[in-house]
Amino acid sequence: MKRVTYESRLRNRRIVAKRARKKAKVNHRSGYVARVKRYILEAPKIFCAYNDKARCELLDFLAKLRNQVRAGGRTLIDFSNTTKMNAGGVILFKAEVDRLIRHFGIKSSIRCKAPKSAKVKQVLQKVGVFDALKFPSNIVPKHSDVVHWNCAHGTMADGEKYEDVLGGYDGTIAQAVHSELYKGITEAMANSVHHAYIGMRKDGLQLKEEANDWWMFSQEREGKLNVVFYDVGIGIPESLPRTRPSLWEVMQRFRFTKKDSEIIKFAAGAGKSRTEKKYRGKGLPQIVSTIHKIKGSNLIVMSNRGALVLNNGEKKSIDYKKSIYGTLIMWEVPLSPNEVK
Amino acid sequence: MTVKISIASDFSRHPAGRVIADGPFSGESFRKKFLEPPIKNDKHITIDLDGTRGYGSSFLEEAFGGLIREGFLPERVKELITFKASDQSLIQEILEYIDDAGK
Repeated sequence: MKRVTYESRLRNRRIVAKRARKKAKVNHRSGYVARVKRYILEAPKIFCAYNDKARCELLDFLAKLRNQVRAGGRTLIDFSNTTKMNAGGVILFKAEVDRLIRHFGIKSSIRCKAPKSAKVKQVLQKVGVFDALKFPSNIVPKHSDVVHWNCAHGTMADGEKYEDVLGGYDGTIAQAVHSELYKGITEAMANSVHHAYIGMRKDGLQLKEEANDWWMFSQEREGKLNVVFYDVGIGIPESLPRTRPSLWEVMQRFRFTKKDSEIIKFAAGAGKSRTEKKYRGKGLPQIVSTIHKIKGSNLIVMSNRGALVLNNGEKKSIDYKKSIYGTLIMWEVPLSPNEVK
Repeated sequence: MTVKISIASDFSRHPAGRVIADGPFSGESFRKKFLEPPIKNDKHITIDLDGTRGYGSSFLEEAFGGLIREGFLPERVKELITFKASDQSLIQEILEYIDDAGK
């Protein structure tokens, strides 16, 4: 066999490299070099779970992300145009990404293109989105709105996780407020463990959850502390008929409704109604009752398409067009050490 | 003889959840470890509720209401346990769980 010379080896290498360069697609505007074709998914401008329009855009984006990952394609999330993020919107996104990565593993192959907004960049770094999407970043969150974002994730009713998110607020919020928030949050964890994952989430992926995951974020905004808790379970409107059939029967008999918001409202106020095990079912009513003892506090319980809002003592039901496929609870409490009723 | 229990220092500052499968410091695990053995031996217990981050209803109901479901009589449980708490509504809540479980 003819011996390959050093020069011919170098020539072969040059040919291979030239062919690879030809094959690579270069986006000269962004400088992004895609050797492997990726589906580019534009992230919404605003990540928000409460405003109907922004929420719709975010949920459409999450649905596209799920479909793309299910199809087995490689996805590039482009955050270029994202300018605003609130805790509710980010928690929906982070939970979805974590879930997709856990279920589809390496096949999910989601990557991202950094946002132009420095503040959004810092939020994504702080809540662990860049880590999850393997985006190399050495950003140190410095913005006053971002440094106070805290996050936790768990699969049990683990009270110690409270410290990850709210442990730093000793002295900033009253001890009694801590006590009420702790009650509400640990009940939300217990509800997530007992009720959220008793069936298949109707998001089209047909995935069987192996853990009772929940996520919790906190954010300081305009002198208030927002604490958001989210699980990607089947939601209250789906779990209520299974976990509390007698209550569901009463509801069907007297107040038949198919609106998710009405089901949440009914479940939240039905702590002392007859249940299958009468000592159970106090969780959601207690979550709601936490804010009655904290002056100037608000609460949103959002599940699938519905929401129950308690704002300054007034109850309001909202029905949205799209489902969040899970339950999101948000407490808003004033950042003041004496705000207890 | 009275058994003194401080939930915060003897059990956890973070009690949460109902049954053992729920989490590391659940109502069931507190009941089994700290309440059932002295009550079985007719010992008086003083429980200090202060010092924790708080108490969810599922923890309290399972810890104290659970005693009644385990076969102890509500009157006897209330006789044997003395509560100490700066928030008196907490004691009221526990007594309600004991009474409700006995109905």
